[in-house]
Amino acid sequence: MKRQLIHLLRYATLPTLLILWEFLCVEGAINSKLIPPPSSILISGIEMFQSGEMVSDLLASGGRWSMGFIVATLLGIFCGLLTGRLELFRATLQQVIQVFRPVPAISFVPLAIVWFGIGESAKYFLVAWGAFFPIWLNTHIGVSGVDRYYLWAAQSLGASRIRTVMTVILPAALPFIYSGLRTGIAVGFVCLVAAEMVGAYEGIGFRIIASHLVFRVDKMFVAICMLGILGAATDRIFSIVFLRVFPWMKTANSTVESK
Amino acid sequence: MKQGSIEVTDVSVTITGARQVQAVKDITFSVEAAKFVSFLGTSGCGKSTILNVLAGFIQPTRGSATLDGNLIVGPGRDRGIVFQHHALFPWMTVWDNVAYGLRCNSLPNADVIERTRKFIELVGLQRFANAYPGELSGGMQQRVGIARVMVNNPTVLLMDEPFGALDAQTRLIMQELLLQIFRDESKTVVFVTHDIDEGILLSDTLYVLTALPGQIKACIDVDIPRPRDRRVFELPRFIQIKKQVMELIREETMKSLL
Repeated sequence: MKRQLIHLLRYATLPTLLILWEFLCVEGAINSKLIPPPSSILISGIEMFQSGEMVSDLLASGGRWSMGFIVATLLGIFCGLLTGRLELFRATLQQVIQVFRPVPAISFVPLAIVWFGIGESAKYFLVAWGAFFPIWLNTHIGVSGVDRYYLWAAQSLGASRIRTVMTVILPAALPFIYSGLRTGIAVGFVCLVAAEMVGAYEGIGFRIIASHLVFRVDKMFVAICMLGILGAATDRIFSIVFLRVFPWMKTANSTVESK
Repeated sequence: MKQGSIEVTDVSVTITGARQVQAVKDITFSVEAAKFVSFLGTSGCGKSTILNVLAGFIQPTRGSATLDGNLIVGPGRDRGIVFQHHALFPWMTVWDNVAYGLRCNSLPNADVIERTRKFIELVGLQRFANAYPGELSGGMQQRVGIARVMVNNPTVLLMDEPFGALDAQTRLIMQELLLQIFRDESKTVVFVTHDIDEGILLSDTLYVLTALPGQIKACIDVDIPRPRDRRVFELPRFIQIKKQVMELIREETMKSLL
């Protein structure tokens, strides 16, 4: 009985809210100019897909985000390894990075345009900049906390330094790197939209601003919904692929618990 | 000459951390090649420290440890170590864990496959070669831990309470497996345990340690003939040695409690 109720609540809440929303718009309780009903948002969405503008926006945004995220991943993990394992790099870089870390990445938007112009590189830079910090920080924490028994075992089996990094330190830090990457995905989207709202000709962030200028609130809603769907889908796909590639992450916890 | 003789002379280790702790003090002993010695003592008496010095993980503050006349300065493939926990890499399958030492050694692939298979069979885990450690029971995990060091054909096997976390039945099976490996492969084994029965069953020589800082309190020859198995537990000589060791350990436990 209780399980059925939970099930109902889980899947019925969203449709109920949408129906309520639609109803209030039709009844005139909500100003449809400011908050259009779901039905007209859906129709606008279909039109935007049919006209091709949404497809090109998605491709543009997706491409920028991917590029920035890949750069952030490579740099973040690399820097995390250096500062997490080598005292020399920790001492050199830690202060510098700690000064930049608390600065909100979107405050660099105008600066990025000054540096890179309004071309694609400014967007790559901003996404990469925003996603870099959580990836670096989590890698740093994971890599510096590797159980010394793993390192001892590898050493006494004859592993070289490089091999220890690749086969022991990085895998041992993987749960941390994983959560850093997931945070990076979300921060990357924030930076992407911020960058696209200033000086872009396509992309979902641009679509929100462009629709705003011609007061197409329905199209703004479509773009916002697409961001939600895109963000959730990316996170979900990332988790599924990650656990497929590293299946032991699911069982590793039981090893930890058995001690 | 047989390889694997150990000389430890006047070794003291002080561990520097939040506060300085002298873990072991003036430890001197020697192990002949292909002999089995155990260190027995109450928990936290520096037993593991002795193994870590032999493995080369930590350097003694004073004194020296040698293997076949060569000073031990760091970890090496000639000394395989089996830990109680964290033994295995949870991100590798059983096969990859066992093959790890061979791949580090850049052996030809055919040899890696042959030796890995041989030692996985030795510990009876053929059916689990593709499983991850997290999917195995504690006893199976320790079998993999043993196979993983045996592939490198070390001259010395260092074992740090390897069966301490296992249930009694599994522990006995593992002890008999170890006796069999010791008989067939003729390695020097240095074993650390707080289980008196285990120490007597397995060893040629038993060292009983004092409470912290660990010093050698007594050295006992276990003159029970090999091959041994679980029937050793019923021998009058076993019971005699056990009483003697229990008395020694009791003294130390009392001291550390008071």
